[in-house]
Amino acid sequence: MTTTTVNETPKKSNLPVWLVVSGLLFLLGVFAWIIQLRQGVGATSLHNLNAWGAYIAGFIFFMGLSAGMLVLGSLPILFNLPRFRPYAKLAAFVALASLVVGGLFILVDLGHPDRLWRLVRFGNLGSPMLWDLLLTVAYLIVATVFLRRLMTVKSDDALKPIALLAFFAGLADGLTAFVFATQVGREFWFSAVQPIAFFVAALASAGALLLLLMVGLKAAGYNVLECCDLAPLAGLTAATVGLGLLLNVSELVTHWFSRSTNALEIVNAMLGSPLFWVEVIAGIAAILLLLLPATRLQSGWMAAGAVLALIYLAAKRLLFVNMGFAVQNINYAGVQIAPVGGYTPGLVELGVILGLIGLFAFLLILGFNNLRLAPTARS
Amino acid sequence: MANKHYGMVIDTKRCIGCHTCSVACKLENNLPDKNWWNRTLTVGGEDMDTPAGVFPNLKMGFITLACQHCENPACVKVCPVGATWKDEATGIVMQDPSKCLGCRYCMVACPYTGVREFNFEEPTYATGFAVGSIDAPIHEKSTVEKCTFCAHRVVKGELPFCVEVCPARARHFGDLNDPESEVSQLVLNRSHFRLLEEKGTEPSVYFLT
Ligand code: SF4
Ligand code: SF4
Repeated sequence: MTTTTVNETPKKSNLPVWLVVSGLLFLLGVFAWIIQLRQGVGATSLHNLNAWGAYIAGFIFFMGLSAGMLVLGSLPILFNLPRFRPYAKLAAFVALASLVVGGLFILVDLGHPDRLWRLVRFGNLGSPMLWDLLLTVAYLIVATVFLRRLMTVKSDDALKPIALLAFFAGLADGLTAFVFATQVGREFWFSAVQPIAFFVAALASAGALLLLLMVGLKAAGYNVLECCDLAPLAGLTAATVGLGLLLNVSELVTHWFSRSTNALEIVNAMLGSPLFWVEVIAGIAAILLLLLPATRLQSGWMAAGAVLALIYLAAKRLLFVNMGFAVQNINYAGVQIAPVGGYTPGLVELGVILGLIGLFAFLLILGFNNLRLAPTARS
Repeated sequence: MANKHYGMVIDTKRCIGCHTCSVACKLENNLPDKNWWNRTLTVGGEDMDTPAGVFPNLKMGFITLACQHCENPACVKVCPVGATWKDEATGIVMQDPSKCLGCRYCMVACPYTGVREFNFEEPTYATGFAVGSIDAPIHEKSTVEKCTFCAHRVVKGELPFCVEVCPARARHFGDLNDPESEVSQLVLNRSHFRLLEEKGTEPSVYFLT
């Protein structure tokens, strides 16, 4: 390892205010979840014709984040990419934290979390949801070992085997997409492009969050040295956001071209959804901020670009889940089995989601304070 | 004994859209207020019991929609804990609320809109007491439920209640594996369709036209 030196005594700030704020948010989430447990999933805005919503979108988001972080953390070790190397530890840690939060998103979505043990005892290996569960467990082990090795092993060569595992675990994020892409009854999801699109979004989320953390940590007084040239990270984020937008265009064109009733309904539902426009506008704005010479690589603008990229991804995830329910395969008039109108997450859901985001922030801050994650100077 | 493949044949030429089967299902299975395992849908205008078209060229028909007891059930494949499964001896797709996690993956997977319903709240009942069969399925908060072809009646050699009560005699039930059965003969001799055949789920419910 020639290009980085490990600075063992980074100056620490411990962000007490943020620790308290995120802790309180988490408590709010617990409170909202208790309401949901008592009233039933009916406390959310989900209904019979829109059986999944924001929780599942959160699950996809955080699983993707974790996968993207594993890839970004392992690539520089595998392929000797010194410009990405300083973030490896940070990435591995964020991967672990987002995994925990991603798993909890599934837990809060279940009507019967008390029966979770049945997954272990009676697991049906044919179910894509079980594939995902196994993947999560594998991620958890790989990410933990990877982080541990990164903290203790000094030579990148010795890190290569575990980095390779982490890399493949990250690539396997496509498996999350199979939960959706295998569903013949959901026209929008039933597409081979989804595993690729998921992977692209995973990289975008990891790139954007790393950028934000780098800028934010420095502002918070952490000893993030001038070491790190953020240009490659900004470039990667902009490129993957752009690729994601292109995939949207390709989805729209293929559906629109077929002119079948269902496909046109999908196109109309997509163009008619505010989420779609949030996605497009935030995505384009993020790319511009990250790439235009006037704003490029300036801390404030870069942070804004990263936040916009994360907004783009959150909108993308929720829109993706909603679009699965945009078309009713059998749409004749009869008794009402669901409220009219689409699905927008309700108060209880927002509370739970804020709580889980709070937990995520809490875990990250704990990590920053107690582990030496911050990138250090290159010699 | 060879395995049976129970199926239902519904004559759209005879169905008068009276909702008797839907209400009878609610009664027999002691369904909670919000649930309908079998719905009578109007193939016509925007609203229930309205025709399509402009007077005097109006058109209206009905289909009744419940679980299609698919031979290749999308729901069974995705259930992570086997709370919904295909009974080998009868071909009926079963559902056990006491095993269900409430993940709603089966609802997402089933292409047939609304045949699976989730108890979003503690079930409530219009009558305040249980109605229907003594062995009617249980209903649990936070679990998914659906039509079972009245499995509790079929084991006793009875017909599903919706078939029994249909005043227009539009509904038939029997073993599709037996070429001599009434249902097999109807499918053999009458023109028919199945819902969403293109999804490849191989539904066991036939509609005669
Ligand atoms: S109709 Fe739906 S719920 Fe019934 S067996 Fe087929 S896929 Fe499963
Ligand atoms: S909701 Fe219940 S029956 Fe449906 S897939 Fe989940 S565990 Fe299985």
